[in-house]
Amino acid sequence: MTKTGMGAAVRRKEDHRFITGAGQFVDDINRPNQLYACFVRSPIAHARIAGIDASAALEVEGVVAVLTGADMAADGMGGLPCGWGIHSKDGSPMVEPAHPPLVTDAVKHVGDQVAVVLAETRAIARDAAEMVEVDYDDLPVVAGIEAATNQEISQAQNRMLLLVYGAVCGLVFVGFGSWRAVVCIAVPLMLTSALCQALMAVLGIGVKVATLPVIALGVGVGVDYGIYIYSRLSTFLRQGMGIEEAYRNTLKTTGKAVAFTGVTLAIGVGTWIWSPIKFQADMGKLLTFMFLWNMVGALWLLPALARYLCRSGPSATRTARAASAR
Amino acid sequence: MSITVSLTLNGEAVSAEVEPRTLLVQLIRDNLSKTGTHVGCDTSQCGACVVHVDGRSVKSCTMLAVQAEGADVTTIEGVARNGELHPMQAAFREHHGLQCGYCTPGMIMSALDLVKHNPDPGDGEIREWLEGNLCRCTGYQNIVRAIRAGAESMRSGE
Repeated sequence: MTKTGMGAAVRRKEDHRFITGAGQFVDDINRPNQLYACFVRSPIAHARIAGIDASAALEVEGVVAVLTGADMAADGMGGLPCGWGIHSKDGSPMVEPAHPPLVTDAVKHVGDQVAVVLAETRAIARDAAEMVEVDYDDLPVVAGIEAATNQEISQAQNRMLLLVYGAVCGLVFVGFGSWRAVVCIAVPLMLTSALCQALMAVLGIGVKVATLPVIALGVGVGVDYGIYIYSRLSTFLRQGMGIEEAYRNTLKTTGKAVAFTGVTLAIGVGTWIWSPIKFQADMGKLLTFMFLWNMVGALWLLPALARYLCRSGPSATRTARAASAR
Repeated sequence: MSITVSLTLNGEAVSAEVEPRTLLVQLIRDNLSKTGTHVGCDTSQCGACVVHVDGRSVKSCTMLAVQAEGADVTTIEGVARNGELHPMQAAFREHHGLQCGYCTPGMIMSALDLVKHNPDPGDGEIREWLEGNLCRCTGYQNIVRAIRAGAESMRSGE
């Protein structure tokens, strides 16, 4: 490294005063009759301020004022301005929420400034700040990014379920051309989804990014079973069988396949329940439940619904019409 | 209720009337107007308030003023002699051991106590010693370098 010219270290002019204790920082300023400020800060993360009682603090000798957000608003003082606003990619201005130095309605984090005490000495300001009584009404708290994401997801979940069921019902209607088919196939599915959520509540598994696909997957597998069973059942009925005979024959054929698939899938994911990884264990419990319950729904609930919806089972009208034509 | 505290500050006999709860740093800064000693955290973590009390480095925000009765207290203002920078101060300037300068008085006072115990400290020993001194300009690298150089100058009696 060179000692002079390009690349040489340059001594800073301000260093001398800093290393000798002669720097001048804001806290070092001491003027005659100056006042000291002490802030009253929120001990809780999120709460509405129901009231601030500063009467005791104001009685302390040496206290000059206790100011709150309401005082600042009354004086028409705005929030802290953003020093350097930038534009979004699409040219829209930066979102700039109000940021008042003293909160006006609700505290948003621990340490949020609620009031400021001005007094003749630092000690008096501190003492008086402790005497300001703030009435907090607790509000819900979102602590951490995961919690915030999960809150967003619990809202997104309903939209997702609506879309999934919309698609399933639409496609089943197009495929079978019958609202009875839609009811027979969709109702067991919805029951499974609802029970899955109940199970999550019982097991203490929260709605997370990770649980979203489980419900979608459950619907996906469940709709397969339903379509196979319904389709076979209606075929037998169309051949002129009674509902009981058609059901028995369906169980012997497609029913066996559905039961086999459901049980094998459930055994596969069931082993995850003993995983030391909590996420995998939770997924194991939920998926096992969904695979098994979807199977039960398709093999048992679907035909029951079919029996109830049309005296002689699905496509009965068409079957009757076909029989009379013959 | 107030109480009189008398002590020696940077070689000068001083006294002040303070409340019993007054901290040593408040006495030094507010009553004796030596503002080179800083309060960074108020919770004994940052070390910006380090002074020497009877030759030992102390966080002056963690000691009551009355505890310093009769003591010999040295602050950053008392380190340079006759307008001449102490070798440790000179080393901090030379090696860019500071940016904003807020933690610097505490750093220098801590470093001086270290060198008293250990005239030739290694990087590891310096870093361990500075455990109670925080720098928020993230200048530790140069601070450690400055303290090694300062210790060397002190050994060679510059």
